[in-house]
Order: sequence, then structure tokens, then C-alpha cells
Amino acid sequence: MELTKEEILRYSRHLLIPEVGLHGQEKLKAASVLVIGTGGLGSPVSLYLAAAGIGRIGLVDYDTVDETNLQRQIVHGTATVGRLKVESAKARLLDLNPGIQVDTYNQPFTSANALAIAKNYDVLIDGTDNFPTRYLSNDVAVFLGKPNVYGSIFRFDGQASVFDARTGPCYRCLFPEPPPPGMVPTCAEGGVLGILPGTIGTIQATEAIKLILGIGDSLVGRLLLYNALDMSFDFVNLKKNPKCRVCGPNADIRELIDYEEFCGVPGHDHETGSAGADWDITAPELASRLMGKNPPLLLDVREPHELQISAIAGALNIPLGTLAARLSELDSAREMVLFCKAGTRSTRALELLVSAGFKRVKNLQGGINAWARDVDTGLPVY
Amino acid sequence: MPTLRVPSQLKYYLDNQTDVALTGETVGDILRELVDQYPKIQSHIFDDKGQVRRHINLFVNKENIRDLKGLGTPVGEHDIVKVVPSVTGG
Repeated sequence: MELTKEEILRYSRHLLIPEVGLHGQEKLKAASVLVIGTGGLGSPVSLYLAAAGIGRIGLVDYDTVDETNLQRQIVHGTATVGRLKVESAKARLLDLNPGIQVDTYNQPFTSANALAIAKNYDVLIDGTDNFPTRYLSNDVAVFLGKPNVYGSIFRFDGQASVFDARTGPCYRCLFPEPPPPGMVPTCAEGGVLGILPGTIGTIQATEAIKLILGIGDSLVGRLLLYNALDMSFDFVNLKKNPKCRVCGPNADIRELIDYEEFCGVPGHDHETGSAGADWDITAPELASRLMGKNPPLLLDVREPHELQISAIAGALNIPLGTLAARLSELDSAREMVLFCKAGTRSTRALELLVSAGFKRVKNLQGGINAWARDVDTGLPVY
Repeated sequence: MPTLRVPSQLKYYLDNQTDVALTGETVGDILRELVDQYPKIQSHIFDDKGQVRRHINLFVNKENIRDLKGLGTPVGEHDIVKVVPSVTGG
């Protein structure tokens, strides 16, 4: 695929590198990359791939841009809050580089559509934010025989690798099973340093470009462990797992499965905030109960530093992680309403209390953020 | 003494430390002492049957103990046992 005169000027700094050169830039122009997720990781990945002149970039996401995204999802902007993420990102990428093609898939990446979408791309980028879609992306890459450039992040830590079952291990070789639901917190629950996906996503983009150019030593067979607090980059070696259920010699998973069932969690990291209709109480209902006789005890299961952001007066704070060890501080005869930021951790706390024999417990649906929206509007939402 | 290293998502169960020095001749010894000293981390590494959870990988320096001798993998004075759990954020 020959470059135009305009493209030769645009990619001049690439053409000067002997490892890229004119031929390499033509390879980039002829290449296609599917970016699964247009969030923290997908932002830097797609921006740098577009700038580098990858000829066709696919974007999969079904979400819309909101204010909490902008601390790290730099492909979006304040002006695109409320717009579809794939459309917001496409506009930015084409502004950066009008000479490329951007395909958008405004839909969840599922077992029903994943193979059909991914088969048209050379390289897959795992920029997802949840375990079901990570396992799905891996299995799709294994079945289609394509490289899956992996990255994941939490707070100050990041991981990156290139999984390519044709020449090395796959994601399932390393992590045969997902963690129990709720054991590994999501960024929506636990937060993430905004720059972290920039570091890891940029490494993913680098690996994708190296794979396309066929240069350097890729992360196949190695896992990068990055710690932003220590500013340390560590590597461990990965080998194919002979017992791997998708790429091992005796693999028994030969087609896509129900990944939400496999992982026991939904294929997104949005907090639903509900423990189920029988267990929920809405913020206005709670406000009314607190005004009446026999108000329930409020149990705030957030981390202590979150109380500096917003709080409900009179609530007892026992962080979820310490709740199991502090049950003796609670009176099981007293009615309790549990809350956290948005209702996910309080749902887990409710399950813990119910399994310990507590019966008079409710979950504040939508957490203190719902309270801030519907009752005490002076409180911030975070 | 060998060092055990965890990512930040687990340091909250180790009094905010990512590195702890522990005594032991094998990875299994090291983990036993870890849980003795920091019982809050037990359920994050071991399941109800006492098996290492399947989303947790253990490395001695750069090698996965799965490719060595499992929990019986010997650990020397200057070795680092790395706990590498799956991470979901993106």
C-alpha cells in the first residue's frame, strides 16, 4: 500500500527510523487493529495508533462519555460528555489523522458478535474493564489465531503482555479462572491514578506497532508488572500452560461460552447499586425513615478517606474489608441500612451480614451518590 | 531473608506494605508465615479448601512456581516471591 506525498510528509519522523522506513509505514497503513474498550486504556492506544497511521482502527464500546471518565480517558473531552464513546473517539481520531479509517461498534462485545467483529482485524487490543470481556477477548484471539495485546490497571499498578497462543501463552494460561465475584475491585469501586492507563495503554500501542512492523522483542511470553508509586518496571516469564482449556493440547473449550456466567459478574464495571428489590431502600424512603420513630442505624462501609468527600451524619463507618472481623460491634436486633459510594460494596456487606444471621438489613440503592442526587443535593457526587 | 512482594491491591492486608521479609525454605513455608503474621490476607490468596486461588500466580524471581516445584519450590535468602493476581481495570 503506497504512501501519498502528504503521508510521506506526515510520517517523516517514522520514515527516518531504519527499523520503520517507507516499507514499515506502508505496513502500518495496510494494518487493522481492533481496540476493545474506548476507556482508560483504549484512549491512549487509539490516539497513538491513529497518529502512527494504522490504516483501519475498530472501536468497540457501548457506553457514553461522563464526567468521571475525563480524569484519564483522554480521547474524549468535556464537549463530548453525553455522546457515545465510539463516536466521541472517532471524531478525535479523525481530527488527529483524517487519512485513516475508523470503524465503530456501538454495542457490547459479546459471544454473539465478537468473532464476526474481530475476524476483520490483524491485532486485537484488550482495553476492557471487566473479567467477562477479558476472557472473551482472549478466547476470540485464540480461536481466530490473532495476537491479543493485553493491559490492565488498578490504582497505581499495571500489567501488560502480548498473548498469542500460536507462539506463546494466552490469558487463560496465566489466569485459568477469574477471581470470586467481588474479590478484585474494579476502578469504579477502588479508583485508579489517571495517568496509569496512559502508561500501560501506550505500552500496548507500542507492542501493536512492533507486531505489525515485525521488529523488536515483543511481550509474548513475558508479563510486565508496573508500579507507579515505586516507579518500577518488573518482568516475569510466562509459559504455555499444558492444562490450558482453550490453547492447551487437551483443550476442551472450543467455542465461545457465556462469560458473564463463567465469571459470575456482569460484562461492565458500572455499579448497579442494587441488592435486589427485597433488600433495597431508596434515598427518599431512607430520608423519610430517618425522620420517623425508630430510625434505622446507618452503616457506611466505605474507606475512611471517602468520608472526606461526602458523609451522612450519624452513620457508623466500618469499611467492607474489616466488616467480617467487626460483626460483634453490631446489634443484629437493630434495623440497619448499609451504604457505600454507589451500592456495590454495600451489597456485598449486606450479603456478609445476612450470611452471618442478620435479618433486619437494607441496602441504600445507588449509595451515597443517590442520597446526594435525591435528598441532600449539597453533597457532591463522585 | 526472602522477600514476598504484592501489588498495591493486596498491600492493605499487609499493613500497607508491598514487600515483607519472611523466613522459610519453600514458597509454601513463606506463605504459611505470611498468613500467620497477616491473617487478613488469607482469603485473598487461599480458597476455602486451602488451595491457592486460581486467579493468583506465584513467581520466584522471574519464574512461575507452576513451572518449578509448585509450593515446594525452594526459596533462597535473596529470592523474591511475587504474588501476581488478575487485575480487571481498563
